[in-house]
Amino acid sequence: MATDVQQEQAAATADSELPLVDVDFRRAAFGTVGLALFVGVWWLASLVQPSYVLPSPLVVADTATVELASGEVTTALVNSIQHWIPGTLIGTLLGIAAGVALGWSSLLDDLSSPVVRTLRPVPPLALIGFAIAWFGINHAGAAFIIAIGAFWINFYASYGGVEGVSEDLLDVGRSLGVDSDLELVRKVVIPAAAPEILTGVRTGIGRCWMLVVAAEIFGVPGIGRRILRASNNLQVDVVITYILVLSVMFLLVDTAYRALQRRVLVWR
Amino acid sequence: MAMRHAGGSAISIDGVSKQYDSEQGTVQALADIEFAVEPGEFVCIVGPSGCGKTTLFRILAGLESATRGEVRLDNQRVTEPTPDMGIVFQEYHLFPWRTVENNVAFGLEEADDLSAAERSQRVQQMIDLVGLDGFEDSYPKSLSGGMKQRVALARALAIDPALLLMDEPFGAVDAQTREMLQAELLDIWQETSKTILFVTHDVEEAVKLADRVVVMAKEPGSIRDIVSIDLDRPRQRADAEFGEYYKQVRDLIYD
Repeated sequence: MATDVQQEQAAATADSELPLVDVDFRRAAFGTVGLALFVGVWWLASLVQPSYVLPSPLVVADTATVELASGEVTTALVNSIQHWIPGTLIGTLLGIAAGVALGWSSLLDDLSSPVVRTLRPVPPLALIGFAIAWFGINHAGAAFIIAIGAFWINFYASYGGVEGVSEDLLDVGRSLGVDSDLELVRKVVIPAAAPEILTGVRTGIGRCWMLVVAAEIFGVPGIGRRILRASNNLQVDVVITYILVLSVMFLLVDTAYRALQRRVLVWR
Repeated sequence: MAMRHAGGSAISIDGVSKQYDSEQGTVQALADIEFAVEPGEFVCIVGPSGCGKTTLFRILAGLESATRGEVRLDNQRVTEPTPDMGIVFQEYHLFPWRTVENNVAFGLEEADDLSAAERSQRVQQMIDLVGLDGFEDSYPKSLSGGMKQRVALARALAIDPALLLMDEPFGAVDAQTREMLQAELLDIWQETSKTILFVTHDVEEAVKLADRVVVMAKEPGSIRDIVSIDLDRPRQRADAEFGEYYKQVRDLIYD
């Protein structure tokens, strides 16, 4: 075996064992301190404000306990998940498909560019009329609003990723016998653009949790509906409770997704 | 895998010219390039920078089209990349998301006439040939430049092309590794009887490797001369005859 190969042997075997989740204790410690500071400032601010403007963390903790115990949180969460999951999934898949197709084919890109540019600036909230007319006041209607949000993020991430795929890799693929566009997209373009595509999916997941509130504005039950109703009644402690539920859900899904992403992109 | 090509195969370049339109008007990148490579022959193309070596390489590979003239491989006109030609680039261009093993296997996945067992046997054979056994599961990011080029070579050889087309393949590795890779390439060439067309700017490399050296001139890119190197291998830089060939090629480039 040649010497340059031998020299590399040790190095290559060393980094092949990548931990699935690596816990950075220093970061975790600083994060905890930061969180404590935030709650501290909140608590101090709540001392000089009436409870309907800013309830103290203790009041919110009480409310959260009551809401959890009564099963209200679970009910709202189960409702929201029923449109969050299909909305996110469908929007993500369609966004990636459209982004890859238009990023790859300049013909499709030219054809759809005016339509894309017209539809792009429309906020999902503005489409509530369509959600009601096409799907009704139900999970499907709310899923539609969420899917729109997921779609654009994934569309642009995938589009950019595909555009950035090196022409040289395509040349190599062709020289190794890949003779159809579809095959080239499957075997070279999508894997090469995977880092950008997967980052888009992650951004989209976060955006979809935010859209849960907008998607429930027209009466579909869920966390967003609870927040809107509590807002109308000036129940700020309830509002904060459900915001925290959204945050925790985002944190859980995002952490799980990141672990998956690290695994898929282990080659980077 | 049954060898599709018992030996190498001839490629001929017939009156290839290439013109570009630029802001300064029409640029003649290549003018009337004409030569043929015999089956099993090792031919190097050298020339000063800007002589159109890379353009010629891309036309030979079917990645670019000629304005006039044509390239024929096995008497078939080359108009697009073909698996009959294995291409090795200076910058390796490995698929970073694939392990060494899966990089080498890429082209074989396109071959329908192979069983999975034949495929993996062929892949292992190629990995052994370039001395990378033990690295099957490594990703390109953890390999040195020399090792990446070995993977690229194994990947190109795996599909058993008639011709290996190489564009300054050892230009990006250190001198020591380059010498080693040159020696290994000669071994592989003798073992597989491939036809090799090798672009380089390094005169010493050309004289060391080639049966014949095609010397190019620039403005426009054209052939100045073709020098046959009648020396036994392995060739030593210190030999007087080597020095004479070296000087002859060098003078052709820089006069």
